[in-house]
Amino acid sequence: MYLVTGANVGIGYEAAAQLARQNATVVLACRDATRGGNAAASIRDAVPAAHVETLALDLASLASVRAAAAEFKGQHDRLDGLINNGGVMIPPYGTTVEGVELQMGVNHVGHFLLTNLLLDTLTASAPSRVVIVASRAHEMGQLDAADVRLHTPPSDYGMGAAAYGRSKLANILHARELARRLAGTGVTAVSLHPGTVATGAFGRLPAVGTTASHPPFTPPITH
Amino acid sequence: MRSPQWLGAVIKAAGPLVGVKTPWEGAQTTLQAVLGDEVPANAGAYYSDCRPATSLNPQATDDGLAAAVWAATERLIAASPSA
Repeated sequence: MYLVTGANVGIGYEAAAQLARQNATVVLACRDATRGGNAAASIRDAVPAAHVETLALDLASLASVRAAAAEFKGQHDRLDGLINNGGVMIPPYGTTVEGVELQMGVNHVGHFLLTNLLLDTLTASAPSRVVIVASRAHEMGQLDAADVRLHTPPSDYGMGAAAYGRSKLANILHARELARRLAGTGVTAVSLHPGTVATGAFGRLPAVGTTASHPPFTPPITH
Repeated sequence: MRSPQWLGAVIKAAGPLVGVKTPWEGAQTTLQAVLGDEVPANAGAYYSDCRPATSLNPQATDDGLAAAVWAATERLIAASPSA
């Protein structure tokens, strides 16, 4: 049982499709229910035996994060992997429902709460994983331990690249602190840089390949 | 905000030459992190190209900063109206 945020396009979609191909149940957590449904249908087209579900999740609203976690836990008592993949990159300035700059709010804060709310299920399902999709762009981010400013006001936003970098730095540090706190529980947390990827921002995505059912370098599901 | 179609075509053509990955290629590090047997031995690591990265921004390996960001995030959530 895997939950993937932002699973309707790009890396999240491809990861979800591959997990479905390997016979896992996958929950596609997406902001837009129509797009989430379309992604689920697309995976079922490519993998007829796929166990794919959708979950409404708007990471820019902590109330939505709480509702999504409650809905997931109401339907499932197992979670082998939480994949915090969803995010926004250098959008025009905006804030979450709670007033936090959108990139930090969605990429880090919403995922932080989601992860905390699902930790008991992850722990009960151990060995399990929390995988946080960060980016090399974290190198553009600066955070000060003596004065951690998660919110960026409009006057400091510019094009948003520094705020994006800060959100990705927060992602990496989240995985690091989570791993420290989860030592001995069997829940493993890591972050990653997926590479520079041409995502949905660049037009139509290729369909899920139906021939390469087991890409040579995708590990088998063993837990 | 979508980019124009021609830009997508340029990136599709030039991408492999400059290291741009397709979404499927981009998903491989995520899949390794989710499924790889070696991952528990690398808890807390930052993966790149399907293995733990060795060169990192020093801030990204600062345990004091990691703890401070965790605490600040908890405070922010606790102070939020919907919390």
